[in-house]
Amino acid sequence: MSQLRGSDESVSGDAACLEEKEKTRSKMAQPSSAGRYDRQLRVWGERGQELVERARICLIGSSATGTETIKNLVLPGVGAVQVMDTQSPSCGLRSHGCYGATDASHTGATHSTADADTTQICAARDLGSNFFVTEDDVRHGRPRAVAVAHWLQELNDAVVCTAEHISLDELLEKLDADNERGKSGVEMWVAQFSVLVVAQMPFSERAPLRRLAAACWSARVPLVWCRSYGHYGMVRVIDREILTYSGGGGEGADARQPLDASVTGSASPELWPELHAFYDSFDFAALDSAATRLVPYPVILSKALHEWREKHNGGEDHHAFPNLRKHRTELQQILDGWRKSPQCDEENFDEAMRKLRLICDVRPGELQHGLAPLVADAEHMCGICGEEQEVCGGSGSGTGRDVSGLKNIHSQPPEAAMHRMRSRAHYWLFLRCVRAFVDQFGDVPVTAALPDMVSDTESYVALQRIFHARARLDVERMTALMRQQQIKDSARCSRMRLLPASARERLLVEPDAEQHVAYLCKSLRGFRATRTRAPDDTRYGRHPEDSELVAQSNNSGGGTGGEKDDGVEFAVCALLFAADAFHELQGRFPGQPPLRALPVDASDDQQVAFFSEQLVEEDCALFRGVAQSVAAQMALSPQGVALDGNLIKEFVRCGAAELHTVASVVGGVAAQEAVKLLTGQFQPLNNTFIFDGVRGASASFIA
Amino acid sequence: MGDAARFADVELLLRRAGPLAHAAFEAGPENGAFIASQCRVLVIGAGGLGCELLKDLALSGFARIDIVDMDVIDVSNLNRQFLFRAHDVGRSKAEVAAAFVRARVPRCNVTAHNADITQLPADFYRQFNLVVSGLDSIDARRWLNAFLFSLLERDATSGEIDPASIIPLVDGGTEGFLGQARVIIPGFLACFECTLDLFPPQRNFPLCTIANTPRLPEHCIEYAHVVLWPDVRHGERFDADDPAHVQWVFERALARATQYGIQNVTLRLTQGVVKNVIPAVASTNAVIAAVCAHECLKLASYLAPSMNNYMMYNGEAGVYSYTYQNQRRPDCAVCGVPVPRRLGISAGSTLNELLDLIAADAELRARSPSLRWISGHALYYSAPPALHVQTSANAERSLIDLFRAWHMQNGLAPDARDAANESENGPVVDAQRSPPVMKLSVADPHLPHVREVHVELL
Ligand SMILES: [Zn+2]
Repeated sequence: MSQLRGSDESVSGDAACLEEKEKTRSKMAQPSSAGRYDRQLRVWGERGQELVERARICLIGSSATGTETIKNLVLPGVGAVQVMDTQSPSCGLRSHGCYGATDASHTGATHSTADADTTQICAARDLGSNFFVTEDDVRHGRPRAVAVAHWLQELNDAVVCTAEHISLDELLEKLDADNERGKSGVEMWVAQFSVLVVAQMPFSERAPLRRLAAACWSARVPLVWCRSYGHYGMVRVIDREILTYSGGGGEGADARQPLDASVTGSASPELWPELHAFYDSFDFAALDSAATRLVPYPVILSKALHEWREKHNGGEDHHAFPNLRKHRTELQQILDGWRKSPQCDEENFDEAMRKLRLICDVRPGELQHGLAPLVADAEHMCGICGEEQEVCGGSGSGTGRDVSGLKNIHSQPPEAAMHRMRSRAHYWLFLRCVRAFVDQFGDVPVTAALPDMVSDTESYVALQRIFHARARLDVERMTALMRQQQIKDSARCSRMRLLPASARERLLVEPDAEQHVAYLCKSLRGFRATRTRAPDDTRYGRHPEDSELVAQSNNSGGGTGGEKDDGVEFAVCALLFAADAFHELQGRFPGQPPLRALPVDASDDQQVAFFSEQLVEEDCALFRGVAQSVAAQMALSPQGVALDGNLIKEFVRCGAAELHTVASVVGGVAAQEAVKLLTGQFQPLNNTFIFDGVRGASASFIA
Repeated sequence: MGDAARFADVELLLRRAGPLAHAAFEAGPENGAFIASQCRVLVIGAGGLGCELLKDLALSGFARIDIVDMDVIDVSNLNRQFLFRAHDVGRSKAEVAAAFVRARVPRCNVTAHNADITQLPADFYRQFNLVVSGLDSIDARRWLNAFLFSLLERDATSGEIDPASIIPLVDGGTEGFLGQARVIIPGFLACFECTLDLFPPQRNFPLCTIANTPRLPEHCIEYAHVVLWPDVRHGERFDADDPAHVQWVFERALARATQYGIQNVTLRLTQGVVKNVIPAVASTNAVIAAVCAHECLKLASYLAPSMNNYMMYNGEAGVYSYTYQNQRRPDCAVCGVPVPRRLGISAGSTLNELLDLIAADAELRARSPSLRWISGHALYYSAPPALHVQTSANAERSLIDLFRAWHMQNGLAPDARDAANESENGPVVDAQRSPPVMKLSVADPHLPHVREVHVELL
């Protein structure tokens, strides 16, 4: 794998000044972490790392699957994690001092570990699947969330790992009671987190996960739901709208970006006189063959377009576009005419030929890369709170309906909620101002990044300087536009007025805005808004637009997956929901032994009873019916979901076993998605990933 | 011992029959017992994948594990190699990883080997039922693949492979959000060498760009690394792991960049260029290692059929993976019948340029090759030093010159074994006639075998 990425992908200059400042600042803040995080900084960059370090994660469900997910977030250095379980430890330690010096005081505690699955006290069974539970934890009967938080903390000092001594059930009860007294409820509770991870929780009708998911949905807190079930694993991302910027902010990311149309000369010279003056300084007639071979291709393209326009329509139309096939041929002839020695390699001309589309197909000011619909959406968004103007009252007809978990705020809102609101607002505000920018300046903001190209050093560096200067100017222009728009919006946004004064200020574009805007300008090609399906859509939702979504997700194979058949994964997804339905009826999963844990000193007979194949046979008959009806209700594929009898039986055989290997696959994927949600980089999963350990295969699709 | 209670999750599958299990699967307590007390697994590499693999195997019930790694722990490992702590920096990876897992999972016997995989004897490898590798080097993986193939024993009369000599190899690799996992049954499934083209060779910056028209910070760094270092630090070997060496290159690169007005030469970038640093995150390592460990569990228990036989994973855009069957190459240099590799190069090129071509060739990738004419006569040796000195003068000579000189000396074509070619490749090169061919045998530490290479002088 090490050789996957050729080293010719390179870092070229970008808005160097701003970048440098940013780097210095973050290095001063964390002098020791640069070495530790070096390998991941090459994936998501300094900015991504800052966002990771700011994150506050909550895990509910501390068995292997959830713990592995959080492990993969503690290692890269999230700010804080809080671990809790779904049910309350009926006995166990409710103090923090259960490790180290105070250990002795608890050795007298006696616990029945046989009933571990329901009490969520560390038990023998955890030792065989969860790496962050130790023999000592079992001996002391520590609550599993406490043990897991303790051993995760050991991985990284920079992270604050805590265990919550309240179960989800108790918490929901308490929050409901608070809500009745006019205080904040579940929404407000989830709003304090950047991402919520839930593991091994069923999603049946009355499951607490339903309430939690609804609260996250309304408070815009991304929810990552993971499960491991025998050979099978699932990760589902639930978030109303995931805003991402780029395909990764690691080293060299800038230089991998292609050039825009405007820089190759299709824009009118008056829009960028410095660039065109540079182009004009080349005269092919005066260059010898060695110099000709080093002329950068944007110069060649620009001159070719100019010459073509001269010839075309007798030079009448200075804005004509060579958009027909025959025009392309004409351009090729122009290029060939300039070559000095067609025998010899003139790679710069080959590059120009490959980039012809920049002057043929794209016009300045055109919103490419899927930007147009986003810019259109942005028209309706408030630049202060990031919600639709209709919601926050910005349009005048506002309902004031609150969707952010920020209602009833009498004090400072949670940091994570403020951050979420501010990043959304800036995202949409930026896109909204792209329209104004194009109207005013004729084209989208210029990216400072110049990809590598065949050129002599002098021309390349000169071109890069022109780019940098223009990019800086465009950042200033953009920042000014955003500030103006925010002042207008702040007069209208009703949600801003809900906040205390100190919080209000932080919603406005900050003093270091230009750094931030430079980053947004650089990311212009990568903007993407991913809307996942609502949590309660899962089982019964069949929406008209879904068939289109599903078709999309089935084709999103990245090219190589022509023959890929995801039929098994569809069925696995349906069976996971069916298992939940079974659980709601029976109080246990199909094939799961009624006695949840095997006693440590179990006799042979007890073992035979526990691992009974009889149970598999019995449950199969019952489960088949449940599975058929659930599958029939799921809109997973246009052809429906085919349930194979063998697969159903295999599912029952698994008996909801949590294999460490599968938990670890799931934990890896879930953590990866959490990082994307935190950094706004790469493209998020939409919305379900299924792992099939029988075939060693996986698929993702909209479920 | 309570093993059944601890491993109740795995045992639920191991003790109950299932329709999707391997045909040879027999449900029962024997499966878990075999995994715990008999099945011996060798983990190669105690890095990002290796740490995960140890944990995954120990928690799948494997209790007789050996781990090999010759590296020491670096601070940059800590973002994913979770068995190591800051105070372990500088200690042996294999030893620290093994000790950690033994302490956390006491029933699991992990033996560390702080050693170079190529220096361990064949009998060491023969002890294992399974080998699983998490290596970041293509060269090491090629070596391991070829070595496990070489352990196959065949029946003298029928030529059939003795099943007892087969050691399955489960191999994983990651880079950033990308990864792959595969199962190789030596002699039966496509081997690592069969599918070497899955790993395109690293492209280096052309020397003329580095020397004459630098544009990128990388060009300046490579100049300091490849041109200045040998020039100024004459005879001293560059060590990418020595911070002083990297600092030296960084400072020279920065000076050159300033001279040309090139921006963004940083120490981190310098490290990346001279060490070929691979981006790495915890999550991808977790996914790939777990897929590999799950295959180990299946191979050891027949819990389900093995993956057939290659999975690519891409987490950059959504989560995309594709599992498919790689085909064996009939002419695979390891498991097939190799044919001579044909290369073409202009007749005026120097031997040095041919060496570059051989290093960059997707199939050969021999970076320090020794070349002989297939008649056996020496042409160029990269090692040992004595032979290198004797033949190094050839490196700057043109190929056509070498070809002619050989012919003059020996009075026959350099590919003397091939009489048919003798007249065709006459002493005088005629551009109108078919190009002369240098028939060479290439030996290289990166190549599993000596390879015959035919170089057409164009
Ligand atoms: Zn092969």
